[in-house]
Amino acid sequence: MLKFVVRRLVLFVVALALLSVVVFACLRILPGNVAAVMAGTNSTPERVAALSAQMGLDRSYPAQYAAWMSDMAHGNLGISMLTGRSTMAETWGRAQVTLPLIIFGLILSLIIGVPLGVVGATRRTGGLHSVLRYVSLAAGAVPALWGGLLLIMVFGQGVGLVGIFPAQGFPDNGWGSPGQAFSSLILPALSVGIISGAQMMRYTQSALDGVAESGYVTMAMAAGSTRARAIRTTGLRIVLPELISVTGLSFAQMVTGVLVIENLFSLPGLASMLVSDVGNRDLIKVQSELMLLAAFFLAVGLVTDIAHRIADPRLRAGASLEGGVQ
Amino acid sequence: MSLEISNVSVAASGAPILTSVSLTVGDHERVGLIGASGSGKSMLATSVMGLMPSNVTVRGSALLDGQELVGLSPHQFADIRGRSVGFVFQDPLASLNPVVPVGTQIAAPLKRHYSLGSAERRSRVEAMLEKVGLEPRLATAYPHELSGGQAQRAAIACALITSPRLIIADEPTTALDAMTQVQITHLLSSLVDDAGASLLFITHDFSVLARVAQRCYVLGAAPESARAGSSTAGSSNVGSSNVGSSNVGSSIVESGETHELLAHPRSAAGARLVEAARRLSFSAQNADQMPVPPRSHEGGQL
Amino acid sequence: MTSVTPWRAHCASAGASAIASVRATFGFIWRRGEGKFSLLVLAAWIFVCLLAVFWTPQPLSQSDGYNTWASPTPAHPMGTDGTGRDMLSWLMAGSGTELQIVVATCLLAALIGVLFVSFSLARSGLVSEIAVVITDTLLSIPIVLIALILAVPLGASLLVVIVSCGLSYGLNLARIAKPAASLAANARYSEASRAAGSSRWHIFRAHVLPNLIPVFSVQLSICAGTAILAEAGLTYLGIGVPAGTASWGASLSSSASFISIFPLTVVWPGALITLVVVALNVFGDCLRAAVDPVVNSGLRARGSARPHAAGKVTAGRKPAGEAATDAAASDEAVMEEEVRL
Repeated sequence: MLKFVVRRLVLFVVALALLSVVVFACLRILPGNVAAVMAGTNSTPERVAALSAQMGLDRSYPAQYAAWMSDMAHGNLGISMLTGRSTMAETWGRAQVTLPLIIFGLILSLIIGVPLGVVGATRRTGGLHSVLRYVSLAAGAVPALWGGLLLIMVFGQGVGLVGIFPAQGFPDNGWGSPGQAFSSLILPALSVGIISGAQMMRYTQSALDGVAESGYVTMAMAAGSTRARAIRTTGLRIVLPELISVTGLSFAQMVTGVLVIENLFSLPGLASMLVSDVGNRDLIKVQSELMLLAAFFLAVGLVTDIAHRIADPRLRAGASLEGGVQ
Repeated sequence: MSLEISNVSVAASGAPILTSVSLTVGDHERVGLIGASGSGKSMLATSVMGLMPSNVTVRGSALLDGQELVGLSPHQFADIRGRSVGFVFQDPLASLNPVVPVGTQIAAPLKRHYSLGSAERRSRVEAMLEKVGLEPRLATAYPHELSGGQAQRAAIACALITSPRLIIADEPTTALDAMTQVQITHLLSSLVDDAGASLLFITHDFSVLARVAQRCYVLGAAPESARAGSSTAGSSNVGSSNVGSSNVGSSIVESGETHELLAHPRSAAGARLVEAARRLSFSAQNADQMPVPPRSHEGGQL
Repeated sequence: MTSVTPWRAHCASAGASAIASVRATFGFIWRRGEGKFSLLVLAAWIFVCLLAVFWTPQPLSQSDGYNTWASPTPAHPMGTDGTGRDMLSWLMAGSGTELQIVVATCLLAALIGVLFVSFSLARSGLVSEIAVVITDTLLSIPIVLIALILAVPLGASLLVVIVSCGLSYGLNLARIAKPAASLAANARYSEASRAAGSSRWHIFRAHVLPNLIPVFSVQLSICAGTAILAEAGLTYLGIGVPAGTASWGASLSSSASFISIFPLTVVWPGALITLVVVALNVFGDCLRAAVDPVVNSGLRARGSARPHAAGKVTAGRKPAGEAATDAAASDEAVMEEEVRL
């Protein structure tokens, strides 16, 4: 197990280094000088040169890369060219909206998806089975934007048929007013949670279908369970490692939808910052932001893989008890 | 505890697997059920105990100490299994839950049916492990950490932990090597006798069966008379497309004392099985001339 | 758990046989109610793409300034958008863009998938190790993050959508197909071929690649749905299809900002995307059953050696190293079956 964690950590660092090169390169293959792009089309050559010098862009690429890496390693992500604020502070401020939204959405997706998947797997025939199947197929195929719009049309305050949840914005003082902040995340989280939950349901059901008539479930039945109960307990435990992995993947898959939903609900999250930074060519900031996010998602992948290992004793390297009796 | 199966017919998705099977296991008796691969012998045990997949239908009567089993609800079946009836399956590594320690799995029937303290459960599990010849420390081991023989011993412990009065062993030795087969069959029959339980031992191998069962039943292709019977018995799925499958299900073609049957098999199926056992034991070099049973696929069941 | 059939047995060496296999597969899908639905929707989509090249109800350039946000009328069966452009015409034109994205994404994903599968089977430990690093770790990078990185040099463009989805799904594909591939690479027919002096590349082409077809075809139909959904999201974020290009995502995005005033216009593009993505997913489900000889007797009847569970793939992510165990387990199952019969 320790060996696996170390190996996985090494992979994490290698992948991070790989990504940093890709991000760095993507920003340098821009036509023209980065500083010229950043300064805008109407700027004087002196201004461009000054900017270049200020940002260290007049140095060679390897030197620039090394300086960037060393800054990142020291936790210094640079400052925004437009606002002058520290990238780290700004990103962290935005993440306080995005992260709770992702986590809230993921929890909803698990609450919706796993139990319904279990129901789908235990009721092998009949009306409920088909209804669940069609609903999950349709709900999993809805574009996040459209799903959000439909929810606004039904529940949005001032717009919807039963306007009970705020459909726009986030309290100015953020989590300073937790009730308001929470309620403004309800519809956004539902939008991503329902869509992701439908996919989670399909995964859960197909994983459980794979073990529903296996010897493991029969054995649990032989110990005194009905098939439904055996699937709920033994079956779910057996597919748990797989579900952990799927959850980790959904985390990454949900993010596109989360960013879309953030924009739709005018939430001051990472989406608007990233998109406007890319649009404004605030490139040094974009570079650090993207790297920070990449590191975050790689870390999520790392945690997922380790959790998968822990949930599956077959993958844990344990002391062999072979040959005790035979 | 006695099990009295009479005229049980089993069909999977309308295709007959067993036709009009009758069989009795008396109190304290060890009875064998033998048949070639694909003859549906496992299906008999699973279907009268409610372990069959949802597409399998069962008709007829099976009395467990006078209680009718056919037609019980899933919950009634669950209440019987693990309490009155214990099961040992073919491949322990395909039936023991791979992600749960064996001790927990051995305790499962106790937990399902009796309200005991966890300390009491643990001591019973440890006692049971010793009975089946495993060290108590193996309670915390996972199935993949055990050898095939050890795993089957743990599976036997699962089946016997609640002292059920009937044990159904479904090819319990098939997945094991020859030496281990002998050990496991001895262990199983001595434990069953000690507990005063009955045993239904299902196998395709006469050489194993001879060690376990006093009496046995041979399962083979149903005779003509049974075929006629099955078509008039009118299964609800008469029109189902069972194209290509020539049989109308297996049934009991022969029964009697194991040793007598082994010496003088009367049915073709019995003779083939005896012959196979002989050839395996006495002239392994001629094994390639062994009659190969027709390829067939049991519906969804291993 | 994944096991693989020698699918090659079905699509054998002769071209005619391969065509028959494809027919058996599509026939099987067509005979299912759901499959019929998916084939009809997909056929209609392709038909509309072709049609829109020559004809749309209203010219795309024409905007009816007096009829912005119009409700459906005979002249505009789906209404108009904020600049008075005919919604139906733009959706029809958008289906072509969508098809381009889907085809290009699937090709790219398949290419990357095959590339990384072949890397992971490479003799060199270093190469296969690097393949594992890339597939296992980069998998947790969201599509949108790749798209953002690409959008810096490329701006809003089809290429951003295609490359980000293709890359992300290609890696996923490689990971999902790896157990099937290593199983085929270590199967006895590959061993025999190796013993007969075939090169690794020949074995990969002749024995491994055909076995990946079922897994790939199923996964790619799901990838197609993902690409359409991603297009809608990325376009809304301003890093997808550029302004002025017709696409379903663009139609959806343009109507999204005015939802409170003109809710009806937003219905069509969203419903269309959902319909097509459902059709693609259903198609994938049916395809999974259709390439499984146990379920599809049409394939079995054409002389396969023995029925097997084919390329059934669950979405689970497996840590590195488990694939080999999988392959060994499946191989054992095959041997066990042979011993018993």
